[in-house]
Amino acid sequence: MTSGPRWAKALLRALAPPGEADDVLGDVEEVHRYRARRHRPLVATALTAIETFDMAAALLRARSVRLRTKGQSMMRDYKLGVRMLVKYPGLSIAGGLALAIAIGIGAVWYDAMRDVFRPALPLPDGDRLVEVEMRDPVASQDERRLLHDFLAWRRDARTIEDLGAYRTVQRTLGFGDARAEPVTVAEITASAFHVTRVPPIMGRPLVDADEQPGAPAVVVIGYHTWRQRFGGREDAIGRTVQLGRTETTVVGVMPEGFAFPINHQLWVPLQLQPSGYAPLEGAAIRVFGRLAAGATQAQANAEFSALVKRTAAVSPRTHEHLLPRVLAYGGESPGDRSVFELVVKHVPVLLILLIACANVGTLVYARTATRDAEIAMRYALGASRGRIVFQLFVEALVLALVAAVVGLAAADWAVKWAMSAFYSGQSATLPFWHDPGLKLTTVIYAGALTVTGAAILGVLPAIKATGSQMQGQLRNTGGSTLRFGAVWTTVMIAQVALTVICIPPAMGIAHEAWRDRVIRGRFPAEEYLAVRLDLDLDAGPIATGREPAIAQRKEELFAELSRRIAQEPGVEAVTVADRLPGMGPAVRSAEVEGSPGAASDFIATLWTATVGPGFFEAFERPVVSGRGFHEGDRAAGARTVVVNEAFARLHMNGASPVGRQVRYVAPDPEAPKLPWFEIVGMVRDIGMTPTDRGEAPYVFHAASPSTLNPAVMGVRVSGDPSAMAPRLRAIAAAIDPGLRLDEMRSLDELAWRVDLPGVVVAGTLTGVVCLGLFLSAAGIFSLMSVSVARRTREIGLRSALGATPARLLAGIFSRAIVLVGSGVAAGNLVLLLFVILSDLDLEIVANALVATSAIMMTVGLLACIEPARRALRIQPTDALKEA
Amino acid sequence: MADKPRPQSLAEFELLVLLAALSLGPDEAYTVSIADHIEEKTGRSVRRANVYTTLQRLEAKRLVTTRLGDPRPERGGKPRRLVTVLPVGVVSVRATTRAIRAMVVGVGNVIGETK
Repeated sequence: MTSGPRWAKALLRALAPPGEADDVLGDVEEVHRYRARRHRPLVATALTAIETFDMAAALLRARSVRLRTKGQSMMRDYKLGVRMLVKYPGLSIAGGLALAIAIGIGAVWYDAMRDVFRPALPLPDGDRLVEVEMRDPVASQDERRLLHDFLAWRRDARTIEDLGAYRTVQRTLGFGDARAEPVTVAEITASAFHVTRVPPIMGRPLVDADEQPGAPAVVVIGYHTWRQRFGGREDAIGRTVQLGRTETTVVGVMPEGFAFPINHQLWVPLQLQPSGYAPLEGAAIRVFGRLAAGATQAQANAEFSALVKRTAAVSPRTHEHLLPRVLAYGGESPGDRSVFELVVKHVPVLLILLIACANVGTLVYARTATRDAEIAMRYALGASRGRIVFQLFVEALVLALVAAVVGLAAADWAVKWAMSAFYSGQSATLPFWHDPGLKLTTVIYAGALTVTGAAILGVLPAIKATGSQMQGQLRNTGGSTLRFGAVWTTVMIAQVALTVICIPPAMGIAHEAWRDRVIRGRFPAEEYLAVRLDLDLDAGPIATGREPAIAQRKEELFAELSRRIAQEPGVEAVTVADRLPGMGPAVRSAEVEGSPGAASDFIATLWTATVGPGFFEAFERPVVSGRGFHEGDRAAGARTVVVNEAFARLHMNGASPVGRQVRYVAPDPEAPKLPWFEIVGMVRDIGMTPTDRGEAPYVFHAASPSTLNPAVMGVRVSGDPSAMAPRLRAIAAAIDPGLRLDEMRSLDELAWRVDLPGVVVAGTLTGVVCLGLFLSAAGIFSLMSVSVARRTREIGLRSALGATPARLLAGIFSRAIVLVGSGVAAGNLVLLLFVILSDLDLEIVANALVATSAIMMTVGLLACIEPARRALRIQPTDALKEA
Repeated sequence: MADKPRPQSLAEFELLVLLAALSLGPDEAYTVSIADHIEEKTGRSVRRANVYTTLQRLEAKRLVTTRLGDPRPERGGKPRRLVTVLPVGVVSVRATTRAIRAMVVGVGNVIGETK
């Protein structure tokens, strides 16, 4: 071993700086060979070992010095970046906001898309859980009446194991005292507890025997219910609670965080009729399972397609058009990660980032242009081009980092707020796989976006600024040599054009949102209390839907509830409908019977509502022609409707519609025509939603409250409607413990929830347009400032030769005018093309184009004021100083 | 005309390393030979790691520059990192030694130096 111990060489090679390992090892080897000749091998090795450790320590010290030097250098760059933020506040605010919006939107989009496609389930092997859906392409909706199919799949499917089903029902949970309250319950197969692989912390889960009709009623409760309702006591198991109308025994408690299948805290067995169900008979359910070992989603999709085809061969009327889909549980991903998924997830984010960077890039480039003397000086003093580019990159990174922090904080708040608003609107809590706020992976993704943005912002202008023109700057004695070349000019024109394109939609949406609020203001929604009515059923197998006793009971209880509420002091009117004004429309296609001998008039959109007794009176919409509804109109088979005045104006040329007929168009063109309805009356216009502007053609159907789905009661009170809420609950509990009142809110609050998305979109779009205008102005300002700086000598000389201020300004600012004009023209051209293609009213759009052009030109001119003042202050002596 | 290089202050071991490098010349001065040369001339034990660290420092101060020599069989085919003292290094050595000589004048008898 004359060349020295192997470990010593490995150690030194690992510690030596790149490019120096060979000579360091050479030194050790040379000395070791010398020692080996003079000493015994053991002594030589020992001496070399000591020297190796000594050398290793020296290498470590050198490395730490280098790191410290590099760290200090980087820290200087970061400090300079922070100083740049303070020195150029306009760029920092405008650019920072643009980047914050881009990074924030990018983070939210990435977060949302991950949840849309494939949410990460907090369950063992959660990525193997799937949901089976049935798509009805004819009706453009999911078909959920799958009891017949579920029983067949559970018997025959091989690619999915532990196939289960559930439905969500509302029940009243009572403890034999006054604490009864409405709760959400999952009626679920026992297989759910195998699929999730989560055992209860106490007692047992549901078992197959619980699903048998006639089995004792049992319930498994969630952790929070256990803590809140049983105080976390261990004797909760075996206790009896009143669930709806059924005495139910608690048999198990699930651990904290368990809320499968969505956000449930109570699980009762899903019992099915022993005789089975006909195709598409019975209640809506959702089907889930776990992919069998070795099976893929693609194989499961193929198997379920085959199973549905088999059913379609026996029952073509119900199943011929149905398409099953096996999806990742909680998501929309039908299989392995696809190119489509990647494109949808990342391309919009990168596009937004690119647009923001292009906008901010013009500002950064302008800032770099004003610093070219400094950059040239550093170059002359020995800084490499890479070093200068890195410094400019770090400056951009500081801006992007600050923007990312702001953007992520805003995104985190927005995601939490949006989720809370959405689920509160749905009267539900978050699905168990949703963790409110941004995840760590999203923050890392945003970090990557930040670095990418900084690279675009910092490196591209830096490369340009340190290019061949730097040599020119070294020779130059004054003024900037950097120019806004074709690339940056194109970017600025595109920016102006994009802003121009965004202005009309923003103005339109903001106008609509404002108009909606004004229309809402005219309707006294704050005087109404809205509440959804339902009835708890006895525990037992899912009904087929043909049982008459339930409808009879509902009819009696709802009628009694209406009567008792109407007698309360302060109550002015009570009515029931499937929707109240402000709750949004149900739009259907229909045709109206023409005059005798004429063809039917096809109506693309007819707004419908089904109403109970006293609806028009409660909302002060009197009958102006014909008659209102009477009890006969609510009978099964009655074919009468009432329309509004807008219907007559739009489809009867103002003539009375009474006596004419209307019928809906079936979704399936091959299906037999649907029956005609006779129009028996006309009421004053009523806006069920602001978007109908009180001008939409409405058709009202009559129904008894028991047949309404959903049944929403409207109570008009003379005082604060929310004060009436506890009284309503007390009355309902007194009539029947199974009578359930859900989603009790004032109509005003409901209306605000409907309007909120429009207000948010309008506000966001207006903000984006304002930012676009600001960025355009800042870009033009930068361009003009650089132009004035570059031409100081020329302006001074022309001033000395007697040029008037007007001529001076015309010479300098013609470029800005051409630039803004080109952007406005390009934007208007795109808008005009859109108008031609989309068949919009040209006159309205022409007004918008004129307004848009005026706004943009004004902004452009305002941005030129300060550079113009600077240009006019230049004296001939300034030109002499530069020379 | 180029400015005269300004001398830099040197620590004692830096001075010894620079003197050794100057004595060996640019084609023979490298870590091992510099350490051996100092040991031979001063009779004190020199750690090669210290020579390496000092050369790194002198290079950072731009008093010396280094280059890789040809591969050599006694080093297992690996090259030597040869040291060249730059003009500013020479000026610094001159200034330091001049300062030492100036300080020694008058105290030679005291410290046992008889010239």
